[in-house]
Amino acid sequence: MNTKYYKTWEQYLAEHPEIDEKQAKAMAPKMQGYEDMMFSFIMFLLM
Amino acid sequence: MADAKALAQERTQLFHDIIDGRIPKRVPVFVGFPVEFAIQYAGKDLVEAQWDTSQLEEIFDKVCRDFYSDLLPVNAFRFPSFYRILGARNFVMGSNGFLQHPEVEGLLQEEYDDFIANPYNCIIEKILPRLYTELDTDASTKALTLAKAFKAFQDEMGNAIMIYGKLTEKYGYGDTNFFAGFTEAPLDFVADQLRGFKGISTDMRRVPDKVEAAAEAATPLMIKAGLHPIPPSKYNATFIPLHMAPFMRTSDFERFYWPSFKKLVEALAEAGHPSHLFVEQDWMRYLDYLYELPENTVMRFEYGDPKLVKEKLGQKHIISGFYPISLLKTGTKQQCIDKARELIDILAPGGRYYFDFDKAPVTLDSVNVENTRAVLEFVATNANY
Repeated sequence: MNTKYYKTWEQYLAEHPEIDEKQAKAMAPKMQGYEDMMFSFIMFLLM
Repeated sequence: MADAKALAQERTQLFHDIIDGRIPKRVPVFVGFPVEFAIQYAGKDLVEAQWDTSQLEEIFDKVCRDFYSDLLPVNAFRFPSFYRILGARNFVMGSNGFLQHPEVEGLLQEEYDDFIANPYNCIIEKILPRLYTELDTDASTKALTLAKAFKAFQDEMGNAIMIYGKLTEKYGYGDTNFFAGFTEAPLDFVADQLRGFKGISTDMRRVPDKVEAAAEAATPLMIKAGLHPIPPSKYNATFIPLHMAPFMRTSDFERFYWPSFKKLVEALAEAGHPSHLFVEQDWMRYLDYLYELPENTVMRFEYGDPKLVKEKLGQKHIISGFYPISLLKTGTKQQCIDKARELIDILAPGGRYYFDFDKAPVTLDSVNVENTRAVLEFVATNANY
C-alpha cells in the first residue's frame, strides 16, 4: 500500500537505523501486529 | 468435559467431511443468532446488555443451551461503545436499543479521483472524519479519540472471543470457523458507506469509469482486510456478505461488480483463506459466475431456486441457506419440519451442504422459538446419510 498511514516492518525499520539486529528480530512481530490491528480496525469502521 | 470433547470431534468431522468432499455422517447444522436476538431471548435489556458486555456470557449461554447447532451459534461484533466514542453517523443506537445503519455518504462524487489515486489516504483524511464526527477535529484530539475507540474495540472483541472459547468448550462445538475474517466485495465497499445505495446507482450512469476504477482501487484493501490473523486453513473462511449485485443490471454487474469481487475471492484462496459468502437477495442470474470462484467457496443463499443451485454449484462449492425464517414465524411445527425435509432432500445428496436459515433472526419476534428449536432438532436427529 502506498500510504503514509500504514508501514510495513521493512519500511519502519528503514526509517529507524538506530534499531540493531537483535532488537529488530525481537520486536518485528509485535510492531507489525499492531500496525495490522489498526489497519483492520480502520477498515472495520467502514464495513 | 470428555463428552464435550468427543462431541466437538464428531462435529468437527462433519464439517471437515463436507469441505474435503466426503459424505458426512449427517447434514451438519450451523445457525447464527445475532446479539440482539440473544439479549431478547435471555430477557435482558438491549441497551444495557450491549453496553455492559459482562452480561454476554450468560446471554449467549442460554442460546447455546436451547438451540441446536454444530458450530457456535452466537456472535456479536458491532458494539455501541466504540461507535459512540467516534461519533458514528453510520451506526447509531436507536432508543429501542437496535444499532441502526442509516444511509450515509462518506465519499463525495467529486472525490472519486482522490480515492482512486490513494484509497487508504482518502479513507483516513476524508472519509473517516465525515462518517465519524469526533474525528473531524484537530490532530491531537483526533489521536486521543481514536486511541479510546481502538481500546474499546479491542476490549469488546477480546471479551467476546473469550466467551466464544468458553462456550465452544462447554457445549462441544466443532472446530471450524466460517467467520475467521471479514471483508467486502470491492464494489459493495464503495457502495455501502462511501457513496451509499442512491449515490452508487447514480454514479454507475453518470461517472461509470470512476466507479469501475474505484472498485479496482479498493480491491487490495479488501484483500488485505480479508487476510485474517488465524493461520491459513481450508476449514476457516473469511466472511463476505454480498449486497449490490441483485440490484444491478447484469451488464453493470459484469463491469462494476464481478471483476474485482472475483479477484478478491481468488486472492484470498491463493493465500489459503477460503471465502464464506452470504449470497444476499436473489443471485439466480449470476450462478454461472459463482461457479467460476475457487473450489469450496462457502455460499449461504438467501433466496432463489435450491434445485438450480445444487445442480449448478453443488459439485464444486459448499452450499447452505434457503430455509425461510419467515416460515418459522408463520408456519405450524409440522410445516416447518416438512420444509427442512424438502430442502435437505434437494441439497444434501452428495454432501457439500450444511443446514442454515436464509438469514439470521435479528429479533426474538421474527421467529416462533418452538418452531425454530423443533427444526434444528429435527435436522440434527434425522438428516443422516
